[in-house]
Amino acid sequence: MAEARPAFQYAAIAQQREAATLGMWAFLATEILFFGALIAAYSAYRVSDPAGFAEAARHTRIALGAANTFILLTSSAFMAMAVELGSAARARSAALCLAATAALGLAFLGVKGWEYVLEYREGLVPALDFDLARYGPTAELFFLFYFFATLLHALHLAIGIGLTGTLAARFARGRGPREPVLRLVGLYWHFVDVVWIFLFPLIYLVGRSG
Amino acid sequence: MSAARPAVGRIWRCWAALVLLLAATTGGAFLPLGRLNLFVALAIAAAKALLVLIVFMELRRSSGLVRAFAAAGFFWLAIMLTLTSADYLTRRDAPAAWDGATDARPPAGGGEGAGGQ
Repeated sequence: MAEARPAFQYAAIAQQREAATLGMWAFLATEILFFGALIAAYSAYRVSDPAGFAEAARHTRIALGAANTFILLTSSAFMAMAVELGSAARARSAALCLAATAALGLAFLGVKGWEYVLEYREGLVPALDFDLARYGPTAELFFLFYFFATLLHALHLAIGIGLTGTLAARFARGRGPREPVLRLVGLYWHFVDVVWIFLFPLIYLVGRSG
Repeated sequence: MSAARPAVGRIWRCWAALVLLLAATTGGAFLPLGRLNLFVALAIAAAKALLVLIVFMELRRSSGLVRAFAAAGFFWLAIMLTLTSADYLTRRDAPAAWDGATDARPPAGGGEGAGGQ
């Protein structure tokens, strides 16, 4: 990777990377508030009926949730590896790490999809087949949040998988992207991981001890 | 390659810490701590998020300006959550409209709360 020339508006590669990183963080700040509004709504509803929320949360599958958290944390480690190897110009290793990251992302979506199927069979999907007589209105609110938050997260993850897969293919062909690109995709991937780190306790862990 | 070595070790040490914290929070959720359960779970989540932010997202070796941008997002989030809770946690005698729906649950006294409002 000898082309160490910055785009024309920058004096140096380091300056270009700094500007790109700053721009990515500005975007991520809006994403923090985007998901944050959901969590604020969750908190407001939870305050009105903590026992009902705890009861509803017990209908989620903690083993699948924990497995998915493990998958996502591992994918983030591979992404960090890819960024490290990409900047050390080891294209083939970077491609392998990116492929592992994307594969783990797909595994997460697979587990999540299976979870949705199980929940559909149990009558836990609001607006489709929610069993109101069995679970009650607070559980419906909880699962409305659950589906909205996890689907929004899954959408973000799907975008990340697309970006990561594309970069993996480019590195595999020996034509890695320009300097800041891999780093920025990495930041995005880790952010999606951070969102899940907070969704996991709010969805799966509350009310387990009750 | 020689420069990549220590970074690789750091990445997998961070991963190991994250997995340990995941095990701790999953196991801890089953301990009967009452209201503390939620705080413990959120504290562990915050610790995991910090690890990801500092090590994986490289805030450790970012410039002050980048760190300020990262902190700004969470700062505004804190304002949003604080002002929202300041309302919902303190409002006792003028419930929000949707409180009628949750009052339909039987626990207190067993009255027909649903028809009220």
